Amino acid sequence: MTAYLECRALRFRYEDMMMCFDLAVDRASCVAVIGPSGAGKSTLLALIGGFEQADGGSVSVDGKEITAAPAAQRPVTTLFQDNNLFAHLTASQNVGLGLHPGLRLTDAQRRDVEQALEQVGLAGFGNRRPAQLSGGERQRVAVARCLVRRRPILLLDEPFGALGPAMRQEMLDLIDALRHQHGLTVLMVTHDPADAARIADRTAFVAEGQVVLTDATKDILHSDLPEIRDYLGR
Amino acid sequence: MARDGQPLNLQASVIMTARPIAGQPPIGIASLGRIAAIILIAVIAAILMRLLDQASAGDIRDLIGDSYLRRVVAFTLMQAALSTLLSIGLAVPVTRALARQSHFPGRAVLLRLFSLPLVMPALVAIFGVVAAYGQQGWMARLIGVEAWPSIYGLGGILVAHVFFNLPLAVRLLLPAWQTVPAESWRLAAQLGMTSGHIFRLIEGPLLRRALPQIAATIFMLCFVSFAIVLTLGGGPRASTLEVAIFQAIRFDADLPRAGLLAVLELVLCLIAGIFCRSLTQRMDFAAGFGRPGWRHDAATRSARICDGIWIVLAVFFVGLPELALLADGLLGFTIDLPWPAIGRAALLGLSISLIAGAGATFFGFVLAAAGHQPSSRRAGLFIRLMRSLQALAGLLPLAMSPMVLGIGFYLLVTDYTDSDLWSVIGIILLNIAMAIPFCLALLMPAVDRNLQQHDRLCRELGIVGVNRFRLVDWPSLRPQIATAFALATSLGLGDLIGISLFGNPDLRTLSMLLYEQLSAYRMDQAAATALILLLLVLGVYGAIERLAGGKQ
Repeated sequence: MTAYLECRALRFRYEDMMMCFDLAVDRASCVAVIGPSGAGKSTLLALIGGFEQADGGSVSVDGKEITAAPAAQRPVTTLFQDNNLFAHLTASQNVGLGLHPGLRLTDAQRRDVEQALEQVGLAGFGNRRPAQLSGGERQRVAVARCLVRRRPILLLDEPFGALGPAMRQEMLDLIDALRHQHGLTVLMVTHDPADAARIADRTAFVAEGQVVLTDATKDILHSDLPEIRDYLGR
Repeated sequence: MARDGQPLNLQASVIMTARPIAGQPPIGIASLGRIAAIILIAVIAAILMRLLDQASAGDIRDLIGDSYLRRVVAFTLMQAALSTLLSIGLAVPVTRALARQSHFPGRAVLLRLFSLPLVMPALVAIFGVVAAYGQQGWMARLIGVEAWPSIYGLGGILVAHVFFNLPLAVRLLLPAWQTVPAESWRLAAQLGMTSGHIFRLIEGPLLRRALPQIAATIFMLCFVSFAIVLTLGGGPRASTLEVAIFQAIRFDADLPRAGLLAVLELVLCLIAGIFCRSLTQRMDFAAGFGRPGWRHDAATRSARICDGIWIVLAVFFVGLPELALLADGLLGFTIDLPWPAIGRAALLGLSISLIAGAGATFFGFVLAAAGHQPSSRRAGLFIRLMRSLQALAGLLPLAMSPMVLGIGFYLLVTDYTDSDLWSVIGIILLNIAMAIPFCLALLMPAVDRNLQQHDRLCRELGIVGVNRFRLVDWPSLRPQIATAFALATSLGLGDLIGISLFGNPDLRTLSMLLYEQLSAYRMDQAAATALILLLLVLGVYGAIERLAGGKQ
């Protein structure tokens, strides 16, 4: 059986580093991506999200190749570490952008927006602007937008790295719950092995522009591979 | 133009200047700063008194009933408003094109082309504009139209103001685009926004925040524009208050009228200044990190064509006068030039501007350094009073238009003597006063940063006074001090107000010489003089930055 999301020999040159990624993710699973800084974790996500153009290789989802598709037409949605929201728009407007990029919404879509805010625990926060929200609340608004876009794949680029430990766990649990509720496939870049252990079935270890190893999370975290041991500091 | 002709972006930053942060200044510099502030305030107060005294000799009813004056005030406001509208209206699509097409060959060269008007003396720019767009200009010859409209009058003033302010507006607007975080562009791509959506949802709000300040800045610059209106106005139909004051004193020798006009201008300037300040808004855009924003709509055919057209148009408009300056200037060297006069004028201008530049830099530095005082809660009444005076002192010369300042110095000096030496001293003092706000705007952020980094360490180790300046402040502030010095000096080289008020046939700088050649329509000589003056400004600027700034 082929994987749901698949990267094959996906090449990208960044300055003088040649990256080449192979990765397979099953439908409705959660895969964490860990590895040293500058290894290419975020680049991998940008290639899948359509923000960088690959120099070669392919990305496919459910057997359909999307390597050259514009970002908006890919079945994926990305949550960044910061600046997920437009500072001059309200929470509702920011979520609404996921339904229409010019913010012309029908009444039904407006209800969708409210519902999504409710699901992330922000009912009644619709009229606030990002400056009036805490860091965690801002990320929740961004998650709500991901929900209304109804894309089967959610890419998380260290989205909770700036949050405190309790808030971070809360957000991870929210993602996990939403994943099960909506059948999402989640790919999450993180710096903290504990994040991976908390919600990821499998983990991919990335170093020097390559996916070195993908395995069950607990096997990766206890791997005897020297690179992984060095990275984890064991 | 700006302080007749100079780095407009600096003037902009003065108008938009930020409040300093609190800290502890080196002790010696604090007292120097206090003295500098007192001197500056005393001089400004003396000028104000003298102007009011002069004005009281005139009859205010003459002004109110004067239909010529009403026309002048109306024209002053109208040309400033039109210049602002045109500059901003063109700057928005041009900046958008430059921001969207963030990588194309020649982009850096193009931005350099755009920054040349920012350091160009007004008279040099005027020559370029006349040579490019005048009746015998390149454009008229290129197109070959018989009845090419005259450059003199409102049209010429607008063209020259746009030549200066379009690049300025682009320079001020581009950073606003850079404040959009890279993630926002990625979001736009992910959400499938078209260029239209992006304009409405990202660029529109950005412009609404950035434009009022930039428009206000350009309006103020055009409001007090002197050299351009004097040279290109071409008669009483197109005259502004600044020019009217100058004519009252220099041609009609009507001091009471000049005094009244100066007071009127002062009041208008204050009203306009307060209005502009009230437009200042807080930007609540998140700050993005470095990387120029990749945009998914930049590569589409329509975006490329549309951006290309705007960029080419802007390059043509700004580039043609620059090209004409260079080509006509080189051609001008083949004719017989009054070399001794040019040499004397260059030497006099250079001496005056170097002294004035050093003076302005000194004032700017001590005022910037002394602007930081211990927290006001524990400070006594005297300290607090001093502090507000110091904050005020640096900005005062800006609140007065250059001509009002100039006429004030002129009256003060000529009350006592009209010797050449005192005329030169008058020009120097005026140029110092005009350059202080720019030096302050340049040095204040650097002094802030220096204090934040080193102040606690210096106090802990007991590094004070001269030692502190020698070991800490000078090495870390040297590049900024050199830039302030270079800037103030090049401002002085382009000065027309001081030299036209105080100057005489024996006392001429290059700007004055150029003005005389331009008003006598001796374009071949003016071409050479303009190029020499431009090269002198660029050369002196570069040399000071290298030598004093310690750059390689």
